[in-house]
Amino acid sequence: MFSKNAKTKMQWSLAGRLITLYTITASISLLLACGFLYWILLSNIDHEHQALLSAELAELHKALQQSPLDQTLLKQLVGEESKHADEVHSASFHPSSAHYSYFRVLNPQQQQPLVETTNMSSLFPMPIFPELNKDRLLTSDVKIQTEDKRIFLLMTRYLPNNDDTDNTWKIQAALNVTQDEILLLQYQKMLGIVLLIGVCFSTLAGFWVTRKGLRPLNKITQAIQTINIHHLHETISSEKWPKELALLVAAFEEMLNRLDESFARLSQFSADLAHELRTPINNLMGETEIALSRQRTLSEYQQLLESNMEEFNRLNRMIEELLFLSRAESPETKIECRLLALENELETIATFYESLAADKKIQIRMTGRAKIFADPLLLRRALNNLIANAISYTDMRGEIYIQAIPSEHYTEVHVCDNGTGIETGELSKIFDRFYRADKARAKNTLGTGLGLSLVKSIMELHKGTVSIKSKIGQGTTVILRFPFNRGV
Amino acid sequence: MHILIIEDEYKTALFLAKGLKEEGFVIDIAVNGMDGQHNIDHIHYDLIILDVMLPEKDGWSILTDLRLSQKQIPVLLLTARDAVEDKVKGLELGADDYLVKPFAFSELLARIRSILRRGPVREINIVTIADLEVDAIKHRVKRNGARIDLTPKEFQLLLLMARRQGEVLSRTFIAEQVWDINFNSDTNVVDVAVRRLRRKVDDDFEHKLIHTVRGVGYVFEKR
Repeated sequence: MFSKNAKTKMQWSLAGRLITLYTITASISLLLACGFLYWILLSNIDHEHQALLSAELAELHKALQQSPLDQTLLKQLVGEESKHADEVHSASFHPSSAHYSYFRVLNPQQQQPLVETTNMSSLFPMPIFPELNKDRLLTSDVKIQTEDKRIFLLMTRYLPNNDDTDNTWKIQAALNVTQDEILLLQYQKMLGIVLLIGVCFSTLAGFWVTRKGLRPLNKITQAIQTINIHHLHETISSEKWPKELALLVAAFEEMLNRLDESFARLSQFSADLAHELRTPINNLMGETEIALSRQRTLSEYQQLLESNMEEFNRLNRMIEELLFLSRAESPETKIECRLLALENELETIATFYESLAADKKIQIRMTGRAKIFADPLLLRRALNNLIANAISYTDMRGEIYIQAIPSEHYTEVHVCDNGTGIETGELSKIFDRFYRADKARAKNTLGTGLGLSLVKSIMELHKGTVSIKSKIGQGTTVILRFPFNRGV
Repeated sequence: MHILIIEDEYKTALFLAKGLKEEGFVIDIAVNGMDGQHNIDHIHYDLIILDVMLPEKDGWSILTDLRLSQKQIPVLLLTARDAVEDKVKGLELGADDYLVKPFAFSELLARIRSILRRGPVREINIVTIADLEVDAIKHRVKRNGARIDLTPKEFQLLLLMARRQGEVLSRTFIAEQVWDINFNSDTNVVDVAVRRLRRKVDDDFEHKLIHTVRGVGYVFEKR
C-alpha cells in the first residue's frame, strides 16, 4: 500500500508537479491579498462606527452634564434620530444616507430609561443589549437583524456623572449598519470572484509557462533518441542548451565518451581474445587431426596427448585470468585487505622464484621493510607476475632488485631489473591485454600476455597505481603504490 | 573406498569414474540431483563428488539436506563458477573442499586423498623408498647411505613427494604445498625446482625415483 503510493508519486509528471505547485502558490498569495484587503475594510468600517458613536456620546454627555437635566434637549438629541429612523422605516430607504440610530439613556440604579428614541423599546428591549459581566468588563458589541431585514449593532457605553462619581449614565445605542453589511457582502462576493478568476488564470499561466519551460527537455529527449552506437555524440553537443541542461548535456556527453571508449576497448578485446584463442586451438586441431589420419604407434599417441595437455593448460590459465580481469572490473568486487608485513610477502615470492633465478644465475636482492594494507592473495599475484616478467626479460647473470618503501600515506614496491628494457613507445601499451613487448620471445614463453593487465587490475582494486620506467639495454623498473590506510 | 559422483555432464562423470576406478576406488554415478539423493539415502559412501548446477535438485540443497541429516560423509564440490562467495557458501554449507572446472585430474585425486586421510592419521616422520631415506624431523636426506644436502625448499619438495609416493602431483598442488602460492602461476618454476632436486637426488643413481608425467605433473616412486 505504502509502496504503491510512492510509486504513483514517482509517476507524477514534471509538468504536472510544476503546474500544481504554481497554482497552489498563486492561490495562497491571492487568498492572503484578498484577506488582507477585506480585513482593512472591516477595520475601517468598525472605526467609523466607533467615531460616530463617540460623536453622539459627546453630545449626550454635554446635555447630561447640565443641571438640572434638560429633558427636552435630551429628547431632542435622541428623538431626532428617531425621527430619522421612522423616516427610514416608513419611507424610501437610501443606502447612501448616513447611519440611523436609536439611543437610550439609563441611570444604572433605575430600571426605567431616562429617555429613549421613540419605538426603541419595542424594537430593542433593554435586556438584549450587552452588559457588564462579572469581571466588570463590557461584553463585545452585538449584531442583530430586525424583522425588516435591517441590521443593527447594539452597544452599551457608560458616561461619567460629574456630581456623583458612583452614578454613571448607561447609554444603550443601536447603530444601523445595514448599509455597511451590504457593502461587506458585496465585497466578499467580489473577492470570491477575483480569487476564482485568479486561480484559473494562474493555472492556465502555469500550464503555459511549464510547457514553454520544459520544451528544451523534449528537445533533448528527441536529440538523445537519435543517438546510436555509430555516432555517439554528434547530435546533442551542437545545440545551445539552457544553463541547467548544459550541465546535464555535459555529463551525458562524458558518459557517452566513456561508453565510446569502453565499446572500443571491448571490441578490441574480443578481437584479441579470438586471436589468442586461435593459436592453441589451431595446435590442438592440427596435431590431433594429423595423428588420427593414419595408424600411429603408442608412443606417438602418447606424445600427442601430452602436447595437447600443454595447450589445454594454457587455455585454462587464459580463461582463469580473463575471468579474474572481468571480475576485477565489476564494481561489486570486494577485496579483503589486511595489514601485512611487505617483506614477508616479498620473501615468499622470491623463495618461489629462487630456483628459476638460480638457473639463469640471476641474483634476487631485497631491501626495506614496510607495512602494507592489501589483499594478501592479490598482492602475491601481482608480485608474482612482476618477478616472473623480470626474470624472463633479464639475461644470464643479471640482477633483480626489490625494494619496499614505506611512507606516511602509501607503501611502494619497486621491482627493478637490469634486463633488456622496453622501448619508450611501447610503455603506454604494456598494460593492455595480450600485449607483448617482445613478440619473438613471447612465442616461447608460457605466458598468456595478461600478466601486466592483471597487475594493473589488482592495483585498481586496491585504489593504488602502477607505473613503469624502462631504458633499452639498462633495464626496467615497475613501481606499485598501495595507499596506506592506517585507520583500519 | 566407495565414492558417489553426482554430475549431470555425463562425459565428465565418465572420465572421473574411469580415472578414479583406475586408482582403486569403487564408483557410482548419478546424473541428476534426485537420483543422487536416492543413492545417498540408500548406500553408504566414503565420499561424494558433487556438482553444484544439477537438474531437479541442485548441489546446494543436496549438501544442506545431507548436513541436516547428520551424515558425516565428506563432500567435494565441483563447479564451473569460481566466485569467492560461491566458495565461501560451499564451505559454510559443510563441503570439505571445492574445485573449479576445469581442474587437473591429479588435483582432484590429491584432494580426495587428503580428505579421506583427514583424521587421526599421523604423518610419517621417516620415509624410506628404495635406498632413499627422508627424515622429516632432522631435515636429513640419505641415499645409499650418503648424505645429500638440500636447500630448505628442496627438502620440503622432496618430503611432499616422498610422503605422497605413487601419487601424481600437479604443479599447482606442488606450488601450493611447498611455496604457499595459491594461484596458477604461468611460469615453469616448479619444473625448474624439480629439475634441480633431481640433479641432487636422482642423477647419480641408476634407479630414478622422480618421474615426469608430461602435461600433468610429477610422481615419486620406485619403478
